[in-house]
Amino acid sequence: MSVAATDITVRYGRTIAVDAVSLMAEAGTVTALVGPNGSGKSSLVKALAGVIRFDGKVALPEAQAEGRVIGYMPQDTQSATALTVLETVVLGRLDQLNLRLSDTDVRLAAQALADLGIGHLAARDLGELSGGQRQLVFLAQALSGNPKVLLLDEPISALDIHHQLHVLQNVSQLTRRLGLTTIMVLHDLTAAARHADRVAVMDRGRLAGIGSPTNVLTPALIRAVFQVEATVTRGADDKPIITALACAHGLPSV
Amino acid sequence: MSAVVDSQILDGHRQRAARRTFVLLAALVMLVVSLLVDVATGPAMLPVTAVARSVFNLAQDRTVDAIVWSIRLPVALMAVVVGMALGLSGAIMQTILNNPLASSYTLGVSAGAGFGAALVIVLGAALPVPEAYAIPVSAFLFAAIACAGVYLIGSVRGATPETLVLAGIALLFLFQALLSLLQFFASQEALQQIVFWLFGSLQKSTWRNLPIVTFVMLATVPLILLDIWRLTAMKLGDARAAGLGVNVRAVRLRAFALISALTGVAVAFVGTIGFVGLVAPHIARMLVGEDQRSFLPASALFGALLLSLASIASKTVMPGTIVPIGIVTSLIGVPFFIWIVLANRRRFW
Ligand SMILES: Nc1ncnc2c1ncn2[C@@H]1O[C@H](COP(=O)(O)OP(=O)(O)O)[C@@H](O)[C@H]1O
Ligand SMILES: [Mg+2]
Repeated sequence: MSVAATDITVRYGRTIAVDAVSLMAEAGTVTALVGPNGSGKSSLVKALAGVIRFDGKVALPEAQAEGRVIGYMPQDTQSATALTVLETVVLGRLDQLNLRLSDTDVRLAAQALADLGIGHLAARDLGELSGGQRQLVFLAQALSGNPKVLLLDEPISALDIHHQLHVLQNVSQLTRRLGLTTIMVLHDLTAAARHADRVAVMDRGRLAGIGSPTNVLTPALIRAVFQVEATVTRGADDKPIITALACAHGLPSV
Repeated sequence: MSAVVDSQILDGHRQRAARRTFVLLAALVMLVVSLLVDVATGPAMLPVTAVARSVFNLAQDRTVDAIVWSIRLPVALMAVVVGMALGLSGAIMQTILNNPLASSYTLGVSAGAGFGAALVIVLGAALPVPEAYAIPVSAFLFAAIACAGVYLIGSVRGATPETLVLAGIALLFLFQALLSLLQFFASQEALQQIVFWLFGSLQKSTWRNLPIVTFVMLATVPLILLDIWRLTAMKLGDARAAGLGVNVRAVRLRAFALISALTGVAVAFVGTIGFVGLVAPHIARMLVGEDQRSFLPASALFGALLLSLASIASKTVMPGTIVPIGIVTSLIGVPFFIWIVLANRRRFW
């Protein structure tokens, strides 16, 4: 097991955002984390990334000489700084930087940008980019650190369909090729079913289900968690396609 | 394809680096010029040639030597080092709080230092140590107390950089109120001394206190360098910086220690001087961006340049009198700051 989280609980004052969630993920696999707004997806990912206080235990792979353990991409991509895109991506290898940037530092960052098809943005100021462009930049930053565990919080929420696909395919390929453990928050259930090996469904701070997309993403679970009537059909490649048809009785409680 | 993009990006990066070096060098040259002009001007209206000869030790004129060496040079050099200290501390503050309105002056650190100094002036003879030593020590101490206050309020669970900024504003009001209280109870002479001191003045600069400020300034440099990339990462916000492995609270704590040292030592010897610490980082940001490797030195240089120019202005606006430098920086600083803010609206708001 590459990432093993046991009994993760995240509290904000009296709000319990994540309630004793346990989650395992293997190296070389992508886990999609889905669930209604406010169900605790971001809080869980933050706990895994170690950027907020939480109760419970997170076991991660050993640190390696070249590269970070975790590459974390937060959901919020707002940023009004006067840093350039290149400088932002260079920071992905923060621990390896010397006062003077080497050509290697710049090349690695340039490569990470080129991999996502945004090399032409390198010299732009971060603050002048569109939300989707910034999302790609922060993904490049997370990837450039050469991490073992990739934690992506809604990495495609602001992207056009081409870039959505590009990012999801890239992430799956990298995950397989480099043996990463990837956990990413997605809203699009069909995309989750297509691009993830496993789907974990959050509902009001708890895990409502975890397993292969076909086993987990059933009309019954979707109705229970999202309060949506949906059909699940199979595409040409036998992957589930989820079509939302109508809201069932009111909004899900968040 | 990627090799082409690669080399384009590399070239672009080198060009930007070269441009930043050029900006830093240009600022340095302007600073040297300003320093020379500052030494050449003054109420004594000495001819420039006489001043120049004295500076380079060629003259035998005692009066000229006395004016140049014991008044003008320490004052002009003090403007430079204090300007650097203020520019640098303002820049660090804006970075760790991720807020363009932060500076020692706007967030109560200068006010704290000012209160510390005023306290010594009022207590005066009652203290066991001479005022000349007690004032800087007390100024530094209260700058540190103000910083600690901001930091502690900001380390309450759930606090954001905005919480820290609000805490700083609260402390600004607190120390201003305490200062008013002191002034209310102060004797006539103490009151005069405090008021003069609050205006900010370079005129008390001597060869004895100049090295102290310079030393503190230089001592912060290696400490800043240790955190330089972490500081840049903090520009992306706390969550992102933490995700990159930065211990956000530890970096902030270290930064506050540096800020109190820089502000404390500056305020201790020249009083409270506003706007330099606020404006200099904005000029730096406009010209070199926010990679802290160029942003911080540029802020220091522009802080020095601003204060040096203000020192010249303080001697020339009313020939024969020296207007307190703090008044000059505020008078020039306010419209200048408004202009910068309006010119860069898009970028920071
Ligand atoms: N910083 C915070 N302070 C207080 N409550 C928060 C904070 N962040 C999230 N929450 C609350 O925790 C719950 C889960 O939030 P989050 O993890 O962001 O959900 P999701 O990412 O699934 O939309 C929500 O009820 C939200 O209001
Ligand atoms: Mg979220």
